[in-house]
Amino acid sequence: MNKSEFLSELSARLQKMPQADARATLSYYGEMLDDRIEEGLTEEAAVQSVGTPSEIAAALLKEMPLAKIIGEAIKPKRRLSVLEIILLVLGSPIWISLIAAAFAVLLSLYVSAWSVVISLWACVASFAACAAVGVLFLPYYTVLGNLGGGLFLCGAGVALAGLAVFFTALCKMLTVLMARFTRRIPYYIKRCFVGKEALQ
Amino acid sequence: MDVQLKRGLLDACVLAAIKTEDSYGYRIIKDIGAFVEISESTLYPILRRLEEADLLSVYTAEHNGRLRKYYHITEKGIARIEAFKADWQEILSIYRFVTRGEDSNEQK
Repeated sequence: MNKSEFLSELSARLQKMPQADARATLSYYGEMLDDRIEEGLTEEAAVQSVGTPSEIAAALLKEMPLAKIIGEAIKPKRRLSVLEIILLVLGSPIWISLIAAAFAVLLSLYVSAWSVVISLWACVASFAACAAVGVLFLPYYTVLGNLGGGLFLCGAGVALAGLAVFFTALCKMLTVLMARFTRRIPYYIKRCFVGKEALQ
Repeated sequence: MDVQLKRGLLDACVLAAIKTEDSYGYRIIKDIGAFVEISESTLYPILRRLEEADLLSVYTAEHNGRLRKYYHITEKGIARIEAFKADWQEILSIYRFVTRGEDSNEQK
């Protein structure tokens, strides 16, 4: 790949970035290539030493704050005609509420997922509590002469203790998964705007 | 090396590279490259960050018929280098303390 091919491919991959950032990046890498060529490298060798456009673009997009990418994505790429502006304004009750509704749906899905995890933790807590009660009340029932009832409750308590242990492991796993997912949310949003290949 | 540690070190390296005289991208890479691995893609976000934090300033000058960006350290940048040196004095004395016991044990 020669210098102009490299720069045009890099430019294409930086489309989703604000123009000013893309231009600064292109001039930086153009300068790097020029310096290496001046040192004696051929264009091909200089391009090789600097990295591939896809790697460079991916690294920059990953680092870029989400707000910048969204801002660039929703900016109109050409001047809007008067008619388009009027339609946007008149239709704003519709598209604003649609966006708000979509956001609300996603948020409630996320909260529901967390409530499932929290309910499971509550189950663990109640199993453990019942287990404690069942075991501790055995002597009480024995003293009252109801050994059979006491043993039954104690056995049930032990069984619930086992369930609590199992559920604890399950809840821990689910909590870790949810935490990991939450941390990756900005990345997923970026991917929606920028495309999966752009971030590889 | 630990990634986060390297980031802080590279900031100081880049500032040191332009401390005595203004420099440009490719030369900074060559100067630092002798001591620590750095590539264009690593350097670029560092330069941007340092400029935004006002630790260096950028100007364009002509060189061999083309335009080249030069980087100049600011007062804040010099202060950052001094802070870096102070931090490392502390780290060094802790290191000496940690390894002091080992040396005397080996001598026994």
